[in-house]
Amino acid sequence: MRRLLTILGLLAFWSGNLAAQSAWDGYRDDDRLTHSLREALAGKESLARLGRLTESGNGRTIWTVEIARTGGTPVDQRPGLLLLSNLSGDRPVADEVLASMIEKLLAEDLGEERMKKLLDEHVLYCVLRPNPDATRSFFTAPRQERRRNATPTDDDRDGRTDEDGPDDLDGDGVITWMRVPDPAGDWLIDSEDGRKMRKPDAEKGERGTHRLVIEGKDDDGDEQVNEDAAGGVDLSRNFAHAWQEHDRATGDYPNCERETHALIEWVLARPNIAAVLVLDRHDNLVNPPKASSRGGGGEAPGGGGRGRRGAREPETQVQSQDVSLYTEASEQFKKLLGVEKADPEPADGAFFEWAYFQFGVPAFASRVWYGPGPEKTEEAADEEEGSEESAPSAPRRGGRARSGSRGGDDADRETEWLAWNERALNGAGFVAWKAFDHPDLGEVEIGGWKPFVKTNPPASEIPALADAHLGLLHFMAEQFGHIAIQEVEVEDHGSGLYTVKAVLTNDGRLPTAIRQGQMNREVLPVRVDLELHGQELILGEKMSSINSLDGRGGREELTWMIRGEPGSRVTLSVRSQKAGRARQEVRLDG
Amino acid sequence: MSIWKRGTILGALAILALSGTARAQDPKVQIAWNRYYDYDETTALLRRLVDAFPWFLSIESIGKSHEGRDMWVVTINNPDTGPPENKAAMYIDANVHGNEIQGTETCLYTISYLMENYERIAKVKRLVDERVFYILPMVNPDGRDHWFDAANTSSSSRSGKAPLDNDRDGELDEDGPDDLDGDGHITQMRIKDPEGRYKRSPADPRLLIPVAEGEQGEYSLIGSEGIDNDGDGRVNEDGPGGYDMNRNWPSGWQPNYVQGGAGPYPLCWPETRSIAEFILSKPNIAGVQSYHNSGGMILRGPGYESYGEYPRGDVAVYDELGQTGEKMLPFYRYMIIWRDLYSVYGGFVNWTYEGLGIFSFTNELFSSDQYDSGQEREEGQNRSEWRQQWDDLMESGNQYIDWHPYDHPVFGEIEIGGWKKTSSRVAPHFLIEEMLHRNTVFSLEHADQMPMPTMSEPAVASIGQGAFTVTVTLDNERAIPTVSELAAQKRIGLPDFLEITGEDVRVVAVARRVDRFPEEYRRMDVDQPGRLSLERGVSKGSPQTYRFWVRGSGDATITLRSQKGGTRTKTLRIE
Repeated sequence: MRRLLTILGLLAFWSGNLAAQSAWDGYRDDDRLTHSLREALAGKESLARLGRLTESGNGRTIWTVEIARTGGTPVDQRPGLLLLSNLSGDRPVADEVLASMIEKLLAEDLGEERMKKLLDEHVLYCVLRPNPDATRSFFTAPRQERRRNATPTDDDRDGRTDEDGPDDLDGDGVITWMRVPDPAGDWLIDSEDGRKMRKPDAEKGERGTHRLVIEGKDDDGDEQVNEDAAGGVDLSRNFAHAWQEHDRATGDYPNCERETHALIEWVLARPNIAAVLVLDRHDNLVNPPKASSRGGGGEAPGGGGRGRRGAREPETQVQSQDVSLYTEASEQFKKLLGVEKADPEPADGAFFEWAYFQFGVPAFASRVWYGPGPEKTEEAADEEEGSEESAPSAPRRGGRARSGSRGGDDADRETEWLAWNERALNGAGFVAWKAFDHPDLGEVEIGGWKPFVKTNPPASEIPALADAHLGLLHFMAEQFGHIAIQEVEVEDHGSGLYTVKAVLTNDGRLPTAIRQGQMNREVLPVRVDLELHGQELILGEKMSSINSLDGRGGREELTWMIRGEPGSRVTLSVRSQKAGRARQEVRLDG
Repeated sequence: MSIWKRGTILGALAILALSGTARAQDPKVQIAWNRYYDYDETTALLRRLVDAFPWFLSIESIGKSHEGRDMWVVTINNPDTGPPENKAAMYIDANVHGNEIQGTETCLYTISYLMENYERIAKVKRLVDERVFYILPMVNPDGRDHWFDAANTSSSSRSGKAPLDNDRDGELDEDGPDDLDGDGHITQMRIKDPEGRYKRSPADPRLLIPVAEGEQGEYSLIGSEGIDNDGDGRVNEDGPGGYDMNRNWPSGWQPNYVQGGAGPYPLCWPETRSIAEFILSKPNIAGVQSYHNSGGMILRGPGYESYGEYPRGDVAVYDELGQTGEKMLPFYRYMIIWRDLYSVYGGFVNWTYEGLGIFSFTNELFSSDQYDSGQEREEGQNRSEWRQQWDDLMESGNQYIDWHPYDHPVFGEIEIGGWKKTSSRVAPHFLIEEMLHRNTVFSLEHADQMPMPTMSEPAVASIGQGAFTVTVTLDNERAIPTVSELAAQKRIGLPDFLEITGEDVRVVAVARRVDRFPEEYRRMDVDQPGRLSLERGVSKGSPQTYRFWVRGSGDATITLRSQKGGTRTKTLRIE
């Protein structure tokens, strides 16, 4: 037994070495990522501060980085941009890109005008690798794709948790695929390229010959393979907008996990967050939301209106008044990244959707890497039903492959991916199919795409991706709303009576509250206080609320009549949750 | 202690001495059932009960409220009949809305009734022996205490006490109502106003009634008692809390803009989250009751129309229980929340049924029909006149505070008056015990109908060459199935398992009987014939017979394992 363990240990070591020599070498595990962040922030306390969001279920620290030059406007009163990477766990490229953005930002010329504005007037809140227990499987042998955190879950409802996951049967350090001969299977081997699996074309009289199953065996003797792997909740599906109940991967309830609960509380405690950029598997930057056919807007909430007995329905589409924010960002992003197309991806329970619909700020989602090469921009992974693994038109995890649909498209994409694998990776992304005598399934072949190959690019691509996203960040930082007291007029009526008229403007791009933020009432109105110092207010409001000031020069005029000593002063105080504050003393005289 | 509470203690003792009910005459723990108890008093009573019946009762705190009060759960379990997780459990809570207080006393009464009568009433003994009860009398202890201790209306202090920015000015809880006249109640303010839309009632000058179109008015109503605490020119615009913990549960939850009070996300409050975690950790819970007030209702979901209707089999079970409830609870009606009351997204009993597959009710305790015995209003009499008449008749006018002058810092000369917080929603003292008893026994009936699966003696027959058949029949004596139809559809929790185990026994096939005359079995295509999953559980009136083909010899056991029906085991000998 001991010898066996030693051999296994050696195997793990050997395969670990293999991974270390791969094109993904530059990816940083938790320790290296932590070290990088500490290094980037060292000696820059007045610019950037490291914080702990919480610990994951397995005790890994989740880091936050706050970037803002201290002094001047208090940080929590500045418009904030939240940057969040890799809730899905299987996109370490997103962590790499965000960490690189932080490193590059802090290494830039901090005296440059654009940087001065960014650091002095705004705040960047970064959260990196919030699903570290899933991401861990990128860095450990056998390497396997995983989105679900460490919460034990009984996927197959047999009363036991996590008792039968994939196994590295051929000991090559990666979990790949098994093709299992099965006359009832719904896959066949492509006759032209024996690496390729495709769906049979029923019109041509073809029939399936194989099942595709993730590499593994029946660990618990229940006659099923890989039916209950380690892992609980897909954190990128655990948020409260369009959360899917009765799906074991989405959690018992929204924000039920310590990681997501901590994140949401952390965000709610920072109501100055005015925009969100999530780097993960979703996208609304290449494919921005379109104006809803319903029109939206108007006085009534743009959503489904009211049902019977006064039941209002939740919004499911971006408000038409907010759409241009997305299309403008999209134009920038596509230019910066050189990407034109992105496959759709279900976003039920996703954080960025919550951030728009319920937190009420513009929330952008970048897939970070949209696939190989300038020509080929599509991600071929079949993401239907939230399937976790990307593989040749991947069936879901579990012993039985499910039938997919888009057979022809998938086959074309598969050809592109294979060509890229030869061209860019020298074939290293794909394991050639090899016969294997399987303890439960008999003669099978093991091989296929290595995990993460289709979702995370070779490390050499990271710097360019980071630059493109940094470009987007600067663009977004220029969009923030900015509230100002543009002019104040005082008219002396005699008898100590004065009229004070003030014009407020927003000369940023974003309104002080986007339409959805007004509609869901989560973004506070702009509050204007007239502070009196011994004077008497004759007409006008001591405290006024302005629902929202549009971007690009939105104006609001306020008037008060005050009785006071000539030459005395009153103070105007203007507070926006997400577009800063302004304050001005006004002297009562002609 | 308020005057109102103190005044009732002597009366309570007097009534206690005279009453002759099914309740024990010489209880181990004397509790007056004609009054209400604040948080500390309730805590003390729970402790006294637990101390008096330590064999059956245990108490634990499952979390703390926003203000740090313990949230008590009392577990009733007879260890002689097995650990709690092996028995179906009835979960009962109350007072999620801080002002809806009387469910708490119903919880106390339930514990007392089951314990004091365990040795006296055979059915009580059976219930305690067969079942487990988890009882959480105060879901919202902060709201409860605030309602008892501070000036309130009958419907204020519904919220928990986490501060909230109700008027969206960036400040929290900065301007709530104020008990200007110091009488312990928040009543109404009125001001003399020839343009006002109210006048004194000709029938009863204490009352204000609306004036007709074109008629000269006398008064304007200017809101609840209070001042402009924060100097923003508005009165009472941001009182304590301001959210609804019964709109904070995950199933069908919608945010504040769809439904006010929902909170920023489901289970965001310490109270709701602690309870959810508690319930999720107890998959044996098979029945839920959550007491509210008022109106005399036995409510079930769905909470909103677009949900659709519950599966037919489950509706039949609900109907049976609900209709029994209507008989037991005069003036209460069995109702569907969205259809007969109003729309609710993310209600508690919606979660426990729609999310967890547990048959769940909310009783709205106390109907004003009980006050007036359901008599019809007189022709032309408006609602306040009717109320006043019955307050005068039944409580000598004690629940109404007549208008009296007050010099208000914002409005000047005004008058204050109106209904006390103890009116209308909370049963008056003389009706409390009946309310507690009827609701308790309804919930005990609910508990009694939780699943009780049975397994016949297994019949072993040799079919030669060392092979045998083992045949058993499963049934359920009670109305609630071991797996609700909804749970089966949505794959909630575990299915029931029927297992044969034995050292030298191997199950090679299993079949289910599909006909009795002639007897016919159909083979079941399953991965593990020795561990059969019963996704639809076991229901009353549809016995299921299974036959196993077995090889080997010696002793074996056959076990039915049901999360909500407990475990049934029989031994058998293969020979």
